Amino acid sequence: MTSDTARLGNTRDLRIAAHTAGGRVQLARWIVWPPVLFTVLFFVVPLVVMACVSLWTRKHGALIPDWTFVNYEKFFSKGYLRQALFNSFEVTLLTTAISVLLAYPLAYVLAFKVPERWQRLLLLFAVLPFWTSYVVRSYSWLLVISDRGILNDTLIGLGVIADPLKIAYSRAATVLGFVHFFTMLLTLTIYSNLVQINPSHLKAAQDLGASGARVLWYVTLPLSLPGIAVGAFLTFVITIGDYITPQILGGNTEVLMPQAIMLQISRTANLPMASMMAIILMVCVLAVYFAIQRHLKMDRL
Amino acid sequence: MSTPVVELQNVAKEYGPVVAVEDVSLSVQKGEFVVLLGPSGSGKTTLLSMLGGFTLPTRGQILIDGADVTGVAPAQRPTVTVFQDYALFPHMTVKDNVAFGLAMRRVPKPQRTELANAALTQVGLADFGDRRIHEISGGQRQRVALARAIVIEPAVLLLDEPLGALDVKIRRQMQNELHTLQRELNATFIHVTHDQEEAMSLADTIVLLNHGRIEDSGPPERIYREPASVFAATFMGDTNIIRGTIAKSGRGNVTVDTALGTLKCHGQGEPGEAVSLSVRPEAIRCGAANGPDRVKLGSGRLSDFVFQGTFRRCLAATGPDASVQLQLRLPLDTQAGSDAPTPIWTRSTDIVVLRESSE
Amino acid sequence: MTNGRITFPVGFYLVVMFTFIYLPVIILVLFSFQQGLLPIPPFEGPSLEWYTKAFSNSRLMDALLNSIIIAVSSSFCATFLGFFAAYGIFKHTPVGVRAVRFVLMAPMTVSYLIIGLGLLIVFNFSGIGKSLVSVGIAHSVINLPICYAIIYSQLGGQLRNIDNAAHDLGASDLQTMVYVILPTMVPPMLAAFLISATLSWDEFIIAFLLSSFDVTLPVMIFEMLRAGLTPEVNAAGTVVFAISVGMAFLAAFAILIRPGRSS
Repeated sequence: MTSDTARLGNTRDLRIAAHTAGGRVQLARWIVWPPVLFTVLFFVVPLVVMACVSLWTRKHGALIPDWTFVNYEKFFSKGYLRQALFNSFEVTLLTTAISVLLAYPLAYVLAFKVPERWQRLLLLFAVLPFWTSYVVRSYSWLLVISDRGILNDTLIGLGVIADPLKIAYSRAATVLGFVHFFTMLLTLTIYSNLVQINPSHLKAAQDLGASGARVLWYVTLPLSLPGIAVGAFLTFVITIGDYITPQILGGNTEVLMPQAIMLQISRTANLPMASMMAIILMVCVLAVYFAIQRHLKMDRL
Repeated sequence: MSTPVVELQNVAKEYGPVVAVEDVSLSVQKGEFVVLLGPSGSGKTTLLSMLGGFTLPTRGQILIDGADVTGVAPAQRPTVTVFQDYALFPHMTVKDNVAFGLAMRRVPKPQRTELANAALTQVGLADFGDRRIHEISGGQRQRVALARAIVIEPAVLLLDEPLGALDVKIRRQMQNELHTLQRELNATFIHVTHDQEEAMSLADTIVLLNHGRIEDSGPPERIYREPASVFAATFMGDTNIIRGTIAKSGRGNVTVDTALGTLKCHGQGEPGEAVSLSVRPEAIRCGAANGPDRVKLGSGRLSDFVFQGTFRRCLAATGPDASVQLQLRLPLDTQAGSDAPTPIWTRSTDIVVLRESSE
Repeated sequence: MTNGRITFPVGFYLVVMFTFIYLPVIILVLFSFQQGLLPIPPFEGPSLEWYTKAFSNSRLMDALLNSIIIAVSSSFCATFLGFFAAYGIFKHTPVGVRAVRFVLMAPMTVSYLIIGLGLLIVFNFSGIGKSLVSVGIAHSVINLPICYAIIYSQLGGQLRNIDNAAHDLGASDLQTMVYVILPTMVPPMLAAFLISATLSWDEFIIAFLLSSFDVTLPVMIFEMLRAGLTPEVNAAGTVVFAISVGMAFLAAFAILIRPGRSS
């Protein structure tokens, strides 16, 4: 039984080795803190500093920490600044509404009218241009709608219109650019909600004598509201904070909030004013978030 | 017996207001095959998890090889757990999985390969070392998990329902192999299951758990023949429970008043005490009760015959107005048919008196 | 609900919608092969003239290189920080886990413009200033929550016991992480890396605010726009689009490979 004793001796060694292996620092206990520290350092701290700077003023090119609400007062007293916020809200609401109206039927058709084996492929292709940068996407629309662009060229060629439509560099162009982007996003969120609806609900409704339109109105639509809510909220958040689409497509006809902020930064380097407007923008988004929070089930995506 | 290899002293685990394990004390001898048996929610898995070091007990002490390991991490305990889902490392080959524990112990590579191959041979997978985990079957994965555990020669092997995911035929086969393996290694196995047949075929000692407490513990045969409580009697196979009150007691015998009349049986108790009598279905016979130790259970009509292969299962409605239904297992040559009531009886030694206080 | 065929009205509707969705992309790509001076009808060509011009534009090529460096390095940081956060929370629910999660996810709820402005102020004050490094840090900040969420969603289930088993067999925390968890988590980490790289590659406003002379590709294209419409921008935009779509496809593919599944 020499082999047995040899193995037993071996065993004891193994156990001792295992005992010494565990005495190290518990990596798993502190590993969570570097990313948290990183986020605090480069996200939380900058926001706090920005909030502080929004209470400072800029005089003769220098920042003065005088802790005053004068910037906020200026925002509400100067019509052109307030107007930027109103414009932003109008464009955002318009974008969200049109995008939902365009995306819902597309998601519905993809989910219920297209054979299952085609669904995923068509969905993938419906959201592919989503992965274009804002700059490139906005620029591409400019090509389509400019005075001598493909749209006017075609319409004039067909004799529908005599003079080119002045779409480029207007609010309509901004909204068009946004709607294009968010139709794709909303199609994705609404589709993923629609396919989660239990088909037996729909069958049950039909079985109980509901017509196609009634099933849509009384069953499908209410059940797909969470998908609409999530998509619409994302649309709202991204649209209201986007600078590039109104800058490229809207031109200088009207100023939206992000453009107003960028003007403060690039024209006058007035960081306190820019910070103040950034804070106001943030508060608006948070207010909307808390208002519709209970309707948002982000994890359903 | 020598000093126990595992000792639990008043171990309890609470999750907030929920009591998972309530005051369990237990000792396990070296080389023993212990099965923790119980329905889901009985605390058996929590108990195993505390033994393995994955769960910290709220109260009590756990000793392994005489040393207190209550707060010791899994890696530093002389235990290894075989998980229900095997928890094999999907990106490694079979051999690398088995050698993992050795590598962590800095065993040199040639020795590591040799030991891993030996362990794989022991579980009958000598030629599978280079396969990937997703290339082998469920039963084979089970064996790899076993090999991975035994290769580091733990003092105690903990098995968490390891056969639960396998189909019946492979499960039977694995039960036999597990039993053989445990004998070969002369190691201590603590095995969790909810299947009483599995428990009976594997265990030296069954520890029967319910609601976080030990209902009964002992060799399978003892628990089956003389269960300590109504729960133990009903969980370990089928039984008939007849309620009654002790009329007389003395010299290891009691007389119990029941709906089936006054029954004389072996047991303890005070007169006036409410008790339950457990009679296994196979202990009930039909026909005239002639003999000193035979106890009449009235007579009843037999119905609901079901052919079960080695016996016929049926029901007998007996007692006043046929109000008591007893389950019977009759030999296959018993013919179903006559509507006439048949007298039924059992031996007084086959009746187990269960005192209500033990519930 | 469907009988396996697309009916005519449905097909017509799909064609209209897909035309709307693809119109700008098609025009962009088509006129990048334009032979004339302007990316507007009539289309003359095809020619690779503008691609040649774009690829010999050293400012544009520098921006392309900068974008690649920033996308790779910031995504690498974000993926590993995201993994650390996800694995740390998975292993030992830390004190105040709700607060920790809130902080980790918070950057997703704030506009890039506001994050960029905050960092601009802090980098100015601290003397770090505007540079590609600043852009890289900012891109790590915005991508960390996405990486964390993707990786965390794939931990759990079988991974819990696999992690326990490694410890049980004597592996230390570091050994468990390096030898067992990281190899099993390669597919979701790859997906997180690619999604993160795509977002960094396309990001404009933060790069615009935080870069000085060395710029990224989207910023460079924006600056080229000031000179008016030219097919050179189409060529550059087509390249940007192609690379984005390629990365998105790879990410989708990586997500389909789930970790911890042994079957």
